[in-house]
Amino acid sequence: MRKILNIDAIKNQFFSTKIGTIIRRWMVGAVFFPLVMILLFFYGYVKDLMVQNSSARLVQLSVASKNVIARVVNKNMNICSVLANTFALYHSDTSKVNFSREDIIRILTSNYPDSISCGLMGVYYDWKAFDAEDENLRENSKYEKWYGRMCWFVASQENKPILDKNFVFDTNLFDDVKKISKARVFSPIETVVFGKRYSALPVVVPIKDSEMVYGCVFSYIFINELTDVVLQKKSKAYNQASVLIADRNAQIVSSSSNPDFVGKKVGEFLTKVSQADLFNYENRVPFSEGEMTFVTEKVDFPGVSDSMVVLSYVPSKAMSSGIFKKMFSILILCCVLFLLVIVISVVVGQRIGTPVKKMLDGVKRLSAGNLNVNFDLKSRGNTEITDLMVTLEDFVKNQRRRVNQVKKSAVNMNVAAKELARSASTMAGGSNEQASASEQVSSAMQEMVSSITTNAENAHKTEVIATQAADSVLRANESVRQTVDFMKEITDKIGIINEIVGKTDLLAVNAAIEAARVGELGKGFSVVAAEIRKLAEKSQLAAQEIDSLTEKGVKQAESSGELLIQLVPEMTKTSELVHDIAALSIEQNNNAVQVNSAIQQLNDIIQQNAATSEELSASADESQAQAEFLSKVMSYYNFENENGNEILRLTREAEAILKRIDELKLANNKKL
Amino acid sequence: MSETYSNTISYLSFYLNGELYAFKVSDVIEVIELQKVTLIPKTPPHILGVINFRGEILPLIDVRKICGLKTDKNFDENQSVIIVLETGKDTPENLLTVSCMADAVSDVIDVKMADIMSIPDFDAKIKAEYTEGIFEHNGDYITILNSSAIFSINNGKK
Repeated sequence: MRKILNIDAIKNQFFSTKIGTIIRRWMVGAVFFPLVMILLFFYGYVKDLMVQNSSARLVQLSVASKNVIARVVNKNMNICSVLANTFALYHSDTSKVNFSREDIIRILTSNYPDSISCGLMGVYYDWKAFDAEDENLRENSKYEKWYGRMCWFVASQENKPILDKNFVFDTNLFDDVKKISKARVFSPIETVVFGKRYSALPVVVPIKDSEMVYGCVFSYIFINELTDVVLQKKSKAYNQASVLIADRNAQIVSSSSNPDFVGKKVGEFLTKVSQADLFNYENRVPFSEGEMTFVTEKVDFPGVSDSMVVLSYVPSKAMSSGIFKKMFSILILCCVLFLLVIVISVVVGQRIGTPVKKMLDGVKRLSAGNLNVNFDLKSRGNTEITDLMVTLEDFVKNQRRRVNQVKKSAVNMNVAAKELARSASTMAGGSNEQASASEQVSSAMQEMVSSITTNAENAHKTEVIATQAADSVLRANESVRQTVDFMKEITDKIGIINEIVGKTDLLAVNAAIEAARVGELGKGFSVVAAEIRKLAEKSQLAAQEIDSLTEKGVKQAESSGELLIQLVPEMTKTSELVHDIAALSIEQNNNAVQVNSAIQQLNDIIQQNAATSEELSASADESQAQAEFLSKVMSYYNFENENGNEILRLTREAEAILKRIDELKLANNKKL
Repeated sequence: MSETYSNTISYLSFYLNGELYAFKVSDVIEVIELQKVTLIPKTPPHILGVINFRGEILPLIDVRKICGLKTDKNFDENQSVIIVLETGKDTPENLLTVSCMADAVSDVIDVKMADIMSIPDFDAKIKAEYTEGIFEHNGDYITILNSSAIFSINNGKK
């Protein structure tokens, strides 16, 4: 950019010419012109502000004047009410009606010691009674007797002024007073007191009981005096302002600064505002007429149709006077503030920048691995910056200690890793032995399993045989039973034989008898009969023998049957026991198989362990390398102190001890 | 009748209360087994009842009662027999068929007349009028009973 435009050339060649000089001056002017414009704008702005401020104050003045008038009216009405009530209280006793001047003043001052500001006050009471004592009162009265800004007088029925011949009462007013039954304010009236013309605002309170009105307490507020009061109070606000009060005919009745205004009509010096506009309540906007600025404020009284107008004015020039002085003071203030800012910046920069720079240097050294950093803590205050410095220093101290610890740990770790590698290899050897042992156990278990299986088979066979034997015994028992039955049958049959024998015997006897009866002829037959008898007897004997033998046989058979029967449960029990043995053998077989599989698993685990221990050995080597690497890395941090030397010494000693241990182990192994 | 042909007489010996007694075989009709005895009311004590012998009703006499022997129960009832007799053959009006109980029948014995001895009085268990003599056979002494005398009582004429 610079080369394209060639600013240096332009500077050197162009501005050195005469035309260039002129243009340069213009350019300087171009810089100052906006500055001037800004100043002008600033001037206009400040002037506007001042005028606005003055107008507002003028309005405030008008409102304040109005409020003062209203307050005075209120106060006077209150005082009159107090007086009227006092009179009404004493009305029943006519002897006490004769108040002296001092009595009344005492009543007034005790109730409102500083309230009566301006005006006249009087009591217009029971005119008939006053007629009788008229003369006495008249003699004692002195009208130069004033109390503060208040005076009092008593008016007779004839409406003649007592205290001042020139004081003229409006006759209509007293007629109105007789009619009223409550306190009220009347329209302002023109009056002359002590040769001075006043515009007075009458405030009247009736003295009455429940039946009729006896008289009244009245007060004339001299409006002329009010403007003085207002200006006195507002002089600090605006000392160049003046206040005029105009009555309902737009005639000036009071002027604070210039008495010439009094008696003039407003229209004589105000052409822009009509009389109707003057009494427009809304018209509070300041307006200029001639060299003055005016604000009007209408004053209304409760129960009175006539209003008054407060007219505040001030010279228009005065509204913006002293503007340059004010602007100059503002500029001075700005300069002072600017200087103050610069001073503060320098001081603060000094207090923050220096320690920060120190810390930066320290941190740079830290970053280079130098942990021997000391911060200069001479200029220590109690700010966040110094706190930061202290904290940083603590951090560096801690870091130094930790690096120291890490270095120690690295050395220890190296030693531990070596030890670990040795242990891992030992463990691998142990694992191999374990594996072979477990294989031996496994083969032994398998043999045991086969023998248990043989046992189980044998037990099963024995069980079958025992069962068969039990069956055979049962069958034998059955046979014995049948034998007994047969023998009993034989016994029965022998009974038959016995019977036959008996009958044969009898037949033989009878045959013998028959033969005997026949005599010699029957001799041979009797021999036969005798033979038959002998045979029968032999048969009987044989039968008896058979019978006894059979009985013996039955007995034998029964006893053998019983023995067999006794044998059966034993055989059954044997069978059951053998069955149990077979079942237990099977269970044993299963258990043995499980044990065998468990041993197989154990073997697998042992194999895994062997592999793992080898891996562990490798890991130990690796961690040893890592520890050495860590030591190397940590040596980056250098700080010279006795700890570092100690560590180096310890490391060397540790390595020497390790070497010695290895040698001893090797020697041991060789011996073994 | 047999006496007329030889000097031997056949006797049927039997047991009463363990003692051997004998009737003449000529008086004996048959020896039968013990059978059912029908009791008859209001009969004398020596009549045990009546039996049916081949359709003929015969009184069953207890000889022991007549002869004044005590009833001895020590014998085997299976061997008890009833001896059917025919008495009074010599006189037709006295002919009588009766039956009597015997504990057991022993044998038919031929006895020579000369061997028969009279019974000494002092040894008599039975009245002499009911006996005819005594003889020895195989070491035992057998008393011969007079059936006519015994059973005539039964006849009711005595």
